[in-house]
Amino acid sequence: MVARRSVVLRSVIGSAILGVLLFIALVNLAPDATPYSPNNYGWNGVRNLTSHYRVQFINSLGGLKSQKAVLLIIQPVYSFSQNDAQDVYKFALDGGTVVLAGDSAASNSLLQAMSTGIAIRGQYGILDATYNWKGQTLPVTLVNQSAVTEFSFLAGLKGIAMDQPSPLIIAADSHAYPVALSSSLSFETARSSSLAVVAVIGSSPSVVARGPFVVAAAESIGSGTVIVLGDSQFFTNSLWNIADNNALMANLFSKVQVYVDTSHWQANTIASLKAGFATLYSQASAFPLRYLLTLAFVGVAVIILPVFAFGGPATSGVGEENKRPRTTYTAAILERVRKDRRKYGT
Amino acid sequence: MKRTNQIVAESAIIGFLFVLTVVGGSFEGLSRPAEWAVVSNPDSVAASHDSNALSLYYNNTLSLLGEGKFANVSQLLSSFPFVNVSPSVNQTALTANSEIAAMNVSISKAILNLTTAGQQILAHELVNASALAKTGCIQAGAASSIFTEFVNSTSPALASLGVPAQPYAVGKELARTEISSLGSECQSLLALLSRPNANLTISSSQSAIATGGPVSLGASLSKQGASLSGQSVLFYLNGSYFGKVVTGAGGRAQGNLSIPFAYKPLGVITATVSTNDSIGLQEAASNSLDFAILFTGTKIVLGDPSVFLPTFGFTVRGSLTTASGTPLPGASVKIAFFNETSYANTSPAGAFAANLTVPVNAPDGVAYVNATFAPQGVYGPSKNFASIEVAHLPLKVTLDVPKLSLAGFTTNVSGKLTANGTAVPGATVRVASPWGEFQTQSDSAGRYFLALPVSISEFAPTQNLRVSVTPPQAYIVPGQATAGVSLLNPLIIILPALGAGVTAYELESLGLMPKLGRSAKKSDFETGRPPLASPGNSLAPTANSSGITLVYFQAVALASRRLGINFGESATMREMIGEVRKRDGPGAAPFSRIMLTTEDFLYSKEFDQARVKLAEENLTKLKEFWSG
Repeated sequence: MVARRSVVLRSVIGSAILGVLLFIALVNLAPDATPYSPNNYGWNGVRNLTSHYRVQFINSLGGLKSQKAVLLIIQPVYSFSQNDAQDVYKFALDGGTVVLAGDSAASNSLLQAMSTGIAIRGQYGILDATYNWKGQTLPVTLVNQSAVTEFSFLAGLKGIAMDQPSPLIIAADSHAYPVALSSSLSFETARSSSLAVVAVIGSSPSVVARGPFVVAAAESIGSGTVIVLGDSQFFTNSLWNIADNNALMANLFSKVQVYVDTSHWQANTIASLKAGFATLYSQASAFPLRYLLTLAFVGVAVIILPVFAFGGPATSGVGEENKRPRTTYTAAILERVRKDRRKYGT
Repeated sequence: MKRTNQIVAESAIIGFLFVLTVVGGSFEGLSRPAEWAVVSNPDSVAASHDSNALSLYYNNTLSLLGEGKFANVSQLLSSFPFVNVSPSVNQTALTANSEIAAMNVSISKAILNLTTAGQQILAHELVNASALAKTGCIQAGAASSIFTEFVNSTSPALASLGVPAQPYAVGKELARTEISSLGSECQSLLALLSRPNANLTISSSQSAIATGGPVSLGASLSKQGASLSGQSVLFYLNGSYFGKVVTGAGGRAQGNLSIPFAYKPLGVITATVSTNDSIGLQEAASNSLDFAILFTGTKIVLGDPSVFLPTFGFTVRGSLTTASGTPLPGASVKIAFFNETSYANTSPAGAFAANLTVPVNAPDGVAYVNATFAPQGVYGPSKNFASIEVAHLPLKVTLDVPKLSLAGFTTNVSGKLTANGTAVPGATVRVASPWGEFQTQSDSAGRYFLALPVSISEFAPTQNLRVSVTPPQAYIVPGQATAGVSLLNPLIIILPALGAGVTAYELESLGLMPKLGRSAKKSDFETGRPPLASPGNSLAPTANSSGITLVYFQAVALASRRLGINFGESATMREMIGEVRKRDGPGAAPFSRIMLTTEDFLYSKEFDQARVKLAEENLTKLKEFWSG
């Protein structure tokens, strides 16, 4: 029975170790189809972004280094708490660049909490039959050249391609600048009908307003900048290599640390798990925990390895002569044998 | 545990971990407030080209052109690469764009020239006005012909490719109106300038004038053959008024006038007479006379400034005179220092001064300040120079690294910065490492400290670090230092050890490990294996041990088969003997002896090999007892 328990114990420990290793390997290497996932090579993944720039997925907004750093927030699902917004505001205030790409209500919760003059009208989409890279729903917006001197990340840009962007509203008394606008020939429609083709000439009941519309805006906060894009898909693989998108990303992300927020996404995506691993690693690396964990790890390894290598507790009673068959025994078993002999009178 | 059972159990545990993750994620997702934005794959969007959209693009462009918003037209044309145009239309559209771009240039230039011509007429610069008007008219004519080409050729070509002309009719009309108005303005100006009026002719016996020096000028004024006397003739040098003469009898005038100081090689003198309604005289312009402006034999005297350090400013002073020492006022002297060029105007006494700064990147050594006069002229250029000495202080950088660093953890590097024996605070320190570039600043004592996170994926035994230091003081030379870091990755030890342990366990569990235990182990559990036996206890079998265990197994198997006893896996030898004794008294004795001999072999410290033979004899007896 003892041997059977030992086998089961070893089996459980071995399986758990293998399972964890397999799980970590899958999270880091296995392709998936989750939106904005670094392992997603498809149209809605961010594989290209993560493979070209120094990107780190994070699950907490507090304590980020803001110098030479960009915080990228893509299509947040959960609203930002006041603490989250303060962390982001401080990041920008200290010189970091915050890039928000999305059209969700959660995006507006951050912009409002940070007291920016920018709001996203996520219920509307922009169509443009003239300036587009494939069809009406995929407009190319024109960079506001007068803002280039104010914001260096616009240098050398003329047009940026988007995918069903939402218009932005800039408050009249704010310090925000429109940095990209749709053409004067663009339309605004409700999201529910945003995929319907609108006739260029004449009236259409689905058209709410006509362009130009602001689709990207920027505002300086302290020594940093907040950039808002009304397009949740802007950083995905599908918009890579179109118009001046790559140049914009190069201007934003070259030679800086890019943090991607996963704390406002659906939990347990590949990205959030990666962020969790990164956080765990970061915390484990902190003094003095790193030394304690190393000691613990070595200790556990020392305890476990003999179990695997030798199959059970150490035995005693090794025979003294090699030429004679060696008999091994334990005191407990010998005692049991003695009891048996007494019981059966042999 | 059987192999298959073990594999199933282990797979179940691994699967359970994944199920926990998936189920956990699903539960977590239940509280999500909204779905992801409903967006579709752009690859599924069919490429389409709207010809009406291109027409509207041209309407916008031509409207801006007609409204005179030329910069907007240029911007719109530059954005054309982002317009979704059918490949079949693209070439013709590019032709239309080039025509619009050409009109944009021609119209803007025509407007500028014609407007300036009008201003020149008001300023009595009729010669210039005439030239400008002619140029403007040429530009207006070019715009008109390009527009005609667009309307008569390109627009129909676009229409034949499915781009309707109607949507850009409004813009086209605005452009046409603009071009037509330019043509009208052109004709009006030319008519004004060509109206017959008085004839004013000027002449001089000179072909060259010393700058600021005298010139002898004559003038003759007549109208329709009749000379006009008593009229003031105003003279201009390069557009600047410098004197007048009054016509006398025969409409002639002669005078010696001094020109202002001019420092260009060519001087153009023109003259005008003003309107005098009492004698029906309209404003008239004369012919122009070209003179060579002489300013030979100039010289520059520069004072040598003191020695200054980089980033420090100093003033260079000098004077400009003719060779004979006459000061030249209002002259522009070019001062060149490193790659910077500035200009200083001479005072009425011919003196000039310039404030210069030694550049941050000035190399060590002698640097020259060059002063040059009349760089555009062919006569009388002069130059001189002064020099300063530039020197930088060397920066001493030390870099201290730990003797051994662990991958996956941070390693601390530090050092000190000194220049000329003094600490250098506030310097920017950049450390380039294989794990990224890091930056800090030196403290007030010139020390710096950085914690570098060594990547867990770093398996190299050594890596180099390079420190580059940029001091805030420009007169200190940036410095650098390198050092090697010895590295140890714990994973090199842990992972192989862990892998070896798990592999050994799996091989052992699955029976794939080379056998180390008794040879009979495989079948022992069927017949009541001694509780002591375990895989870890197995030793290499010997002939003797094989003999006694073989006897033991045969005895147990015989008892099981003949007496119908099902020995449990946990049954002890005493229990086996008891069971046999209950079923068969005579067979119990030899069976018991075999059992006890086996027990002694297994558990005693010493074992008499002769007992193996006795056990075999007892087995023979058993077989005889139970043969029936």
